[in-house]
Amino acid sequence: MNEEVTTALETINSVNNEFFYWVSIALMMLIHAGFLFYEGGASRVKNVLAAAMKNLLTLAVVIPSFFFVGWFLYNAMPTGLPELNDAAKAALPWSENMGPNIQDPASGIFWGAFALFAATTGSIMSGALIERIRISAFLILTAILGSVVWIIAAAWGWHGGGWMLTELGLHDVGAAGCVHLIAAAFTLGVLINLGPRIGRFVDGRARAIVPHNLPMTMLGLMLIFVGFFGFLMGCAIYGGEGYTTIFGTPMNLSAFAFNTLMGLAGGILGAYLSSKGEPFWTISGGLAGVISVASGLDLYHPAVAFVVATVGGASLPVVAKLLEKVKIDDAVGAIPVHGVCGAWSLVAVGIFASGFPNVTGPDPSLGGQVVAMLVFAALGFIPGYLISLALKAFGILRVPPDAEHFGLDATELPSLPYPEGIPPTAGRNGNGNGGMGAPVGGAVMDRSDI
Amino acid sequence: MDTIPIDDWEGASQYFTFGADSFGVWLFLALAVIAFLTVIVRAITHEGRSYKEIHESNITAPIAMEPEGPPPASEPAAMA
Repeated sequence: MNEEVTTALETINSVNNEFFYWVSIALMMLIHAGFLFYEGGASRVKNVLAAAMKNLLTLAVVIPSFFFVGWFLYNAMPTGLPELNDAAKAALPWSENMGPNIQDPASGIFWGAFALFAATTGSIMSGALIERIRISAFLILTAILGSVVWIIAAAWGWHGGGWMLTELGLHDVGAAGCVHLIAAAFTLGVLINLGPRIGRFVDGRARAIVPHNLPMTMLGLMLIFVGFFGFLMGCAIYGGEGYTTIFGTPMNLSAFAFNTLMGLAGGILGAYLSSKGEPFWTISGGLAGVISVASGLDLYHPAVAFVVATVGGASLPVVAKLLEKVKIDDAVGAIPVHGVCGAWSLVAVGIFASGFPNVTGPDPSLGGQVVAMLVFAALGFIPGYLISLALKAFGILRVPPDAEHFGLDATELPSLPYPEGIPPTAGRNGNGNGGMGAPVGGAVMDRSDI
Repeated sequence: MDTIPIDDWEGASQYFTFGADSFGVWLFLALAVIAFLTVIVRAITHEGRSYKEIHESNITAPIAMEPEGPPPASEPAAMA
């Protein structure tokens, strides 16, 4: 092959590589559009804009903080503690690689994809905390989760030289552990200190605070499904000549297509079955299904993926009930969807895919997957609990009760979501559960309303 | 202001304003961090003042927010 042809092929590969991750980043923006709708719909009318703004601001604080410290941590910490190796030096925000550079078409595009992963961890946390967390406290927590905590997990477990790969043989190709589980564990720590919304538990009994706009929530989840295809693109290493996993093992997008779609379907059906057709849980089951199969997306037969996802989807209402019993108010089911299904995803690889050959480190095993799962859970929970405890001690974690009663939109934001009201929807017993005739504070429902 | 680190595109690598590891880059990084932290601090103070105004004005919600009696948690209650 002559030199001109070689140069042309290298150029094409480089352009393809950049464009691949550029599309991944663009699609991942839909995850954030989806979370915005999802949480806005799940909020009561008095808190819709605050929920939406929280999601918008997640992007705005995580992206710069990930530029300042996040990318450096990823490159500095694969062996455990920070090391100022060449990759870490290149990731410092004043280095020649962290800005426009003709000779480096990779740093920016990989940093961008990881920044969107980072923002996703913040969005996962966001929904669980709606309607009572101060926006400022959320911004502090999301910057720390998105730019420090999860990226340490990624360096350890989602890096070609990460110690979880080289020592444990971890296989988590779709980031179920280092994105979903760690974000949910961090969120659980925050929820313990934040406490439930006023009215969520009365006289020791759980009360439903229902979404003000369930179709909006469902649209949000559909957007998240679309965005997840971008997320999973970012989980593949594309060098212009084919794909590998982030662990260096061969793969292709065809494998991802089989198992992502079968996982989506299995999760929806599992949740549909276990929730008796409850729409919120049913559509959340799709996300739970994709997360449940994420760790082994490249390895499973599609039927295995379907069953693994069905189990994950079916677990959602059960886990939510358990959380209710211990008075944890997870407003959108982030712990069941991202935490439990993220953990299940890691363990399922240990059960169904142990022994696949690894390129670096031992082959995946059930023991290695379980240890990795516990490390991710602890790495998320401990900082989430301690940092939110500190914010609580300073009195800046939660809004005061009168502001919570009045609504965060009216107290924190100079705007109204529906100045002309929204159409009421009558329940079977004639009670509206939203709209102009409904309480501004939103509906709290009895079974007879449904 | 001379912010350009290259004289020619031929053979250039990094070419962003001020150039890598320069005083200009450090200055703007510092300004960016300050702007970032200012937003957080401003949000905290804004919220504190807003909550205080709500509290001191004795404004009550237009309609009672919370239910009078506690109906039992239902299946979708788990979702909340």
